[in-house]
Amino acid sequence: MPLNHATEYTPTHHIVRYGVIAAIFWTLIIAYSIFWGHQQQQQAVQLLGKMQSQAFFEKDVLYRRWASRHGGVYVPVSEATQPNPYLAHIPERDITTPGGKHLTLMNPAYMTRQVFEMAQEYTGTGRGHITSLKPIRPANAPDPWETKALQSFERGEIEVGSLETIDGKPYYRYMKRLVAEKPCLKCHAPQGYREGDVRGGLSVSVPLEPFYGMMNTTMQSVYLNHVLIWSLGLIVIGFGIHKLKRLTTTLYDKTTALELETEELQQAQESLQEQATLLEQEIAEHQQAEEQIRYLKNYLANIIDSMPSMLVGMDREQKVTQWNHEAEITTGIVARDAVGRSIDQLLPDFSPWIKVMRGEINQQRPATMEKLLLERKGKSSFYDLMLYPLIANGIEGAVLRIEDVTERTRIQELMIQTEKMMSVGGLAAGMAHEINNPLGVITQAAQNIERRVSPDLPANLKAAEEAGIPMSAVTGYLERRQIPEFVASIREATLRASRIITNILRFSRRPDSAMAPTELSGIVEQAIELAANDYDLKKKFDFRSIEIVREFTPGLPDVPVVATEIEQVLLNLLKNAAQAMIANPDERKPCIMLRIRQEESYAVVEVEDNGPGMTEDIRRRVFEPFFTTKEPGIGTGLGLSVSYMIITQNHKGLLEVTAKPGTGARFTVRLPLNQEVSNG
Amino acid sequence: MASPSSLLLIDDDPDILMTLTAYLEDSGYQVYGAKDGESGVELFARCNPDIVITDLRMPKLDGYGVISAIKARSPQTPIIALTGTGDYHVAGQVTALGAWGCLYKPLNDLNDLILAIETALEQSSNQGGVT
Repeated sequence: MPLNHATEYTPTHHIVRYGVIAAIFWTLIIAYSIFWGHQQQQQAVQLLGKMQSQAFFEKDVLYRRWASRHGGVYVPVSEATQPNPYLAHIPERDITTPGGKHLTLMNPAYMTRQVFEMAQEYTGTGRGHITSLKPIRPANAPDPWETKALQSFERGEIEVGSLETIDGKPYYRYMKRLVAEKPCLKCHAPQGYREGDVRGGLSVSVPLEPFYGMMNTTMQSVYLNHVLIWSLGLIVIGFGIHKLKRLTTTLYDKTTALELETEELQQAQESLQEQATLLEQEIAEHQQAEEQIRYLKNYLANIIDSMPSMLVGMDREQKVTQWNHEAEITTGIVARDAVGRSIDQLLPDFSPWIKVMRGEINQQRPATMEKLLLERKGKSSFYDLMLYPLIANGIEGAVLRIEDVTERTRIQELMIQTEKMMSVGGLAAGMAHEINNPLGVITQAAQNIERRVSPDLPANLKAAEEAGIPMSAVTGYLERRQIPEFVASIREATLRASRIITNILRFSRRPDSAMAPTELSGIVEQAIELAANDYDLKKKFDFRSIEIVREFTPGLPDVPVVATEIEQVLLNLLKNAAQAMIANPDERKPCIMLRIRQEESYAVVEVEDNGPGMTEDIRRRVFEPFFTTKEPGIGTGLGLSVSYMIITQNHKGLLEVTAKPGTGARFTVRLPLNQEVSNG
Repeated sequence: MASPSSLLLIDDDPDILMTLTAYLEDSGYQVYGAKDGESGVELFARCNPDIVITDLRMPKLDGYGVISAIKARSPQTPIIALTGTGDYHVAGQVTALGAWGCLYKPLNDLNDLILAIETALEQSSNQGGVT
């Protein structure tokens, strides 16, 4: 696989790699199989060796047993077979047959040794060796392997077998312990053995060469078979890989073609998606436009319905097409019922005027009628009417607007009346002294009369006596002729006249009224001082007992005012508040809150009391001239209307009152901060 | 008070003078009357009354002049001004000159006047005026 340069991706690279891996695996499997086979053969050889060794052993033991059971055997003495020196203690070791043949007793060990020696002459057969850790014959001493085996028997092992090399050739060596049996003790008893003791062992060595030869032959055929199978496997793998490569290449080509197709399809889908998005946008825009139309429609309807005037649309036949909320409220007819009906039928009160205006709008101009007086349910109201034609193409009809101007008219009339009062006041100011003096004479004279006809004054009694008429007779006469009542009415009338004049004078325009920038807090303090010194108030209660709370915003600019006039207004408001609070229960300590602050381009002065407040009906009328809630003799009902006049007319400001029953009243004076200083 | 308080009344209107004098005498005061400011100041010097009541708009010497003159002569004597102008600023002006206070004509309840006189007298004697 070339790695040093970028190659086009071929999926077959993988397959070849898998093929190589498969071949390696296959080879490993075969190699293992050979190894395993070899192992098996080895084990088989070993087993054969062991089995043969055991067979030898058993045979040897059998021979020995046979020999020992017979107490040994006599054999002819030869060069090779000499009497056993270790049996010298045995009687009759050597005997001579009657024929003169020399025989010697041969013990089993000697016998087997000779047999083994004989066997050694034949190579390729098993060798035996009888031995012991305590051999009688030193030549029978064990070799090292045997010594180890014998030692293991003493530890309780019965047999030992293993593969060993003797003279460079493979052998299976086997050794089993020999247990002392009764016949054995014949020779071995002197050594201290008893029956059942391990006396030693007999070792057998079996040459394995012939078995290995057999095994090699077998293995050769195994190798051949394996090589054949291995080659076959490799061929199968190679062929499979080749086939797989071809298949994969085809699959790859097909996949590539499919991918191309998919890509094209995706592109097509994307362009479709784009178109769908465009379509969605178009729909959204459309919906937005619709929403805007709906919103605009609602908004327009809202404008029409929120209008505090009746707004009625009509077609050419004077049938109602539009009927707003105010029209519903005023007439009690809902729009659903009104639409389609004749205007004359719906608004009979206005119908004569509508007829007049209808003639006028034929010239395509709006027609108006102002301050029409309408008496309804004992209440007179004023209305402004306007009728105008619809000018849009394709729609013919007209719109009627009816506005209730009762309140506005009332205020206007109030202003006119107050203005009149002030003119009179101005006139009266010049001759106040001339009027007050005669009034003074009248009331003082009347009070003297009252006192001088009273029976309580000692001087009266004295004068009556001197005149010769008893005082009781004088009193009786005067009462009979209602003189005290007449005198009382003189006093009452004088009181009324003087109050009116006093108020007119107090709030009349003065020649010295010039506007100048003035600090408002100074005027407020002055007014408080005047209120505290006011004798009218002093008679009722101590103004100083009222708690005055000042909340003056510092840093207010000077306000252009006629100081004396504003002082009058504030004095009047303070007196008004003080009088209102006379009725306060003990637990509500009279308190006047005075606030000065700036609100945008206005300086604001507030006078708030914690008196009984007033109802909405009274609140609406407080600025009317001669409107008073006070008992006769306390107020003239001019104070607030004159104050109103001073603030609104002379200073172009605002005077408002907010009040609810039980929460006191708050009068708010707003004076413009930016106004051309001119003579008021 | 052992002897009745004496009172100087100055007014250019004879009817005012007459009716007030009658009422004040009935109330127990010794009343001296003057029909203009000048004669009022003269009369004050002669009879030295306990209290002075004076109109403000008068010929020869007006009420402000009277207050100044009497205050200069006898600072402790209380003076009550009476005015028909109806101008509430008057109270401030006369007090500034030393007058005790100001009452407005017409005096619809003469008890107010008596109350004012009594209060003024009481206050002047309390303030340790030496008469």
